[in-house]
Amino acid sequence: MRPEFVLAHEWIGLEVEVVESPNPCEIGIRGVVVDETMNTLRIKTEKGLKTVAKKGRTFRVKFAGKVLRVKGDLIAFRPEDRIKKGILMLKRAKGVWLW
Amino acid sequence: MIDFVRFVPDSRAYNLGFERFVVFSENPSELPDSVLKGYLIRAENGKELIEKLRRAKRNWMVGVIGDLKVIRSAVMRWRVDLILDFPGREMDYVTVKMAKEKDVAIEISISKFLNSEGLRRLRLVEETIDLIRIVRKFDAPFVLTSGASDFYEMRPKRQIMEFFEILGADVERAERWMERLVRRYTDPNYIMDGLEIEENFKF
Repeated sequence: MRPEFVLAHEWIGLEVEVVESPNPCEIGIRGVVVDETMNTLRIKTEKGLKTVAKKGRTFRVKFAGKVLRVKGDLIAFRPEDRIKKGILMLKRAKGVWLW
Repeated sequence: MIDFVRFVPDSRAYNLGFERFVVFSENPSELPDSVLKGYLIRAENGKELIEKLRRAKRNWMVGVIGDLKVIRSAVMRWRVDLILDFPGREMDYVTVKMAKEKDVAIEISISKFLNSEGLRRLRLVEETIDLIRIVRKFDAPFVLTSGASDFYEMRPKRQIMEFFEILGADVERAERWMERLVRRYTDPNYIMDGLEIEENFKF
């Protein structure tokens, strides 16, 4: 699978790390996504479950054998809406050749 | 530092402080690999534009020249990256707004100022100030370039930036837009704004 499809893919089960956040305490939170809402990700870390907002944060995520840096604003949809909205976003983005 | 020109620059051009050039030509396959290839589309109408867009290769940056009608339809096309500057270009409020929505950059070049004088240059300055004001309002992508068609129309980067700064352009923003535009074609790790591949990192 191509890495750009992370925007249209299920995030539960992916390994993520918070790289940038307005809240310094959130930077470095690392683990596996266990649940997701429209605006938040629930990450299972070594210290327990952490809920991190998507908007304004940047995540490092392992997907399709590559490590990607994704802005949370791009994934701030309900997981069930993401296929539709993610593909639409990729289609509209300049320089992204889907086919 | 990158500049958009209409000819293949020689070694002298690199002394002006540019690291790389994007050369726009109607036949980019003839351009050397040392420069980034830009496909200049000169169209009379929308049909011709679409026909020429089909010939564009994936690694060519696409810039369009034409009247207001052509520019309006060019802004709507996904494959178009840039509305190139030329003497007599018309850009209106609606087109700039559309350029922002569709992520098409607007080139503002210094060469047309060098090729005009007197009252015509004065009008050009007025028009450019208006355009910059609209671009600022919508935060539309724009690039400040020399747009030179020969070496003697080229100017150092600093001079270009200072000139447009006087006319009210946000120079740093222009740099960022230009970098983003070029990264789309040169950086394999760049996918889109906010989505990049990190090569050297391992989980």
